Amino acid sequence: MIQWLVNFAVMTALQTPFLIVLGLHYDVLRRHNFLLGSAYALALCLVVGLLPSAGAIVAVAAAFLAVLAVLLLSEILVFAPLERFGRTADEILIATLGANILLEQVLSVAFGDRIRFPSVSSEPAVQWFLSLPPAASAIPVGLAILVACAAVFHRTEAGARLVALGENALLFRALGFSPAAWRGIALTIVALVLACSAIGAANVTGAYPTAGFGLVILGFLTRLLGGPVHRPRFLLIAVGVIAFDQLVSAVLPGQWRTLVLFSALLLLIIRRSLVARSAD
Amino acid sequence: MDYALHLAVLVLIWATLGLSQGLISGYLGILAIHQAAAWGIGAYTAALLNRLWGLPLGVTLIPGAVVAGSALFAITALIGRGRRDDQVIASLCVQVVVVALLVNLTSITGGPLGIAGIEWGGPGDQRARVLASLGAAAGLLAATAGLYVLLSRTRLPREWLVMRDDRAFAESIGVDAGGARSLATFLAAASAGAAGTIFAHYATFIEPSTFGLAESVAILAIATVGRAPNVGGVLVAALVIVLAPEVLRNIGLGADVAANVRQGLFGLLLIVAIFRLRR
Repeated sequence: MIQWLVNFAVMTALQTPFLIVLGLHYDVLRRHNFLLGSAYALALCLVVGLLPSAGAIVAVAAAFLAVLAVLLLSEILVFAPLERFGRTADEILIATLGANILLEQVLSVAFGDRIRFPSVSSEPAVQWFLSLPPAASAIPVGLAILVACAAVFHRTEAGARLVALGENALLFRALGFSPAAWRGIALTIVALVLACSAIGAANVTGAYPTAGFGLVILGFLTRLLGGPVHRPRFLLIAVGVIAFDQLVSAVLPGQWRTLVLFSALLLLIIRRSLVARSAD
Repeated sequence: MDYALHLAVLVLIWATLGLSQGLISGYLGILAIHQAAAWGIGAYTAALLNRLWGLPLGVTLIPGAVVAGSALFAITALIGRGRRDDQVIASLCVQVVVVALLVNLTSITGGPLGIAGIEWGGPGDQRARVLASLGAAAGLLAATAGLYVLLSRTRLPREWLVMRDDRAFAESIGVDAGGARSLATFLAAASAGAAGTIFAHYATFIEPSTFGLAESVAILAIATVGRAPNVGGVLVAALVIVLAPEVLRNIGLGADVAANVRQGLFGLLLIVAIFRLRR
């Protein structure tokens, strides 16, 4: 039980920042984006490749620049033009799935399909009455990212503007701010957090092309249940969703985890549909 | 010659899947990505009926279609009032859950190893099996195209199109939006399920990965790039999907890289398809 709690703390520290930036992306751009999954896998692959030889700072910087380039280019070349052509949210969602598949296959050709870890010691970081894995060092990294995100949302003008853009883009523009520029800023935050999360996750989950897909599904679940990302409820739900996922992983074999996770999301959507029906 | 016939069977099956997808994405404007799941349900239904009772293709076709259609009908009926992007995510969930069930229900489906030794129910020689499958696949494609013609003589397609553009207005003039969507999904899934039964009897071996998310993505791409119900367009798009791995193998790419390029092509086609969507 205690070991499970340690693992849960590690995974919460690693996955919560991802769920938060997924929520931020949805709130600011008003659409889900599957591409964030393979962008995260790209960051992991770069971190795993560069960490042993070039060090953490170079690895994070390279991952940040690569993820930012992917997000900005996809936005400029694909998703923003689709919006201008009047494509609906579900149509653009499908395009993000296509972009995600494309990047996953590029990663698969470039880095291979097997799970890779950076060369690090497998000795437990702390051996006391329980064994703290080396991955426990990810906890402070995750906490730092969470504190930084909370500070940006609640203590800075930039955070307030991002929240305002998510609430009402038309009024945001009427006040003289550029939605496109602030969407760019949001994508920069997303890329930075993904790169920083990757440095913590590289030792724990390893890098492989589909590493981010399950996390995107957790992100959808969190957004459906938790509402806007800047509210405390979102963080609570994110931790709850990760706990649920960890519990399922601990109790059931790996292949059943996929079944339970996607069934949970499907049930939530069914519930939302039935609520909408009764409201009508 | 036999190889060309083999490719022709696959092209016809993929074209049927693309046409069936058009019933949902074309008429209803819902970009569902669960059609490979319906294809798989049909294929597994046929495989199980054949392995348990030795039923031939002519007999398993109807149960395969009905089981696939009913399964998707039931789920669609529950999510019919959801937001459009919710419906896309729900269809993704359905796709993944069906494949996960095929993988996990090992005692019934054979798990990741699949089901082998499916017989088609006719003479034992290979050529007769290929020709029979070709005929069945061509017949199913014609029947699916015929379904569009039959529907065009009713009010249904017009109601679906009105519902796609303005659901509130459609309901105000008496269109049963949920029922219309479920009916379209049933017809589309039944057609895909029938394609699955033909595939199972033709391939004689099926496994869950044949009916995965990438295949659903490819089917959606075929329907939108080929502009279903345009049979010619759908056939050309299906030809590209089937021939792409063969071409990649012939230009010297290894099997793994060819598979990656093929799936990357699915992704790219999907993006192109969204740019080319008709209004």
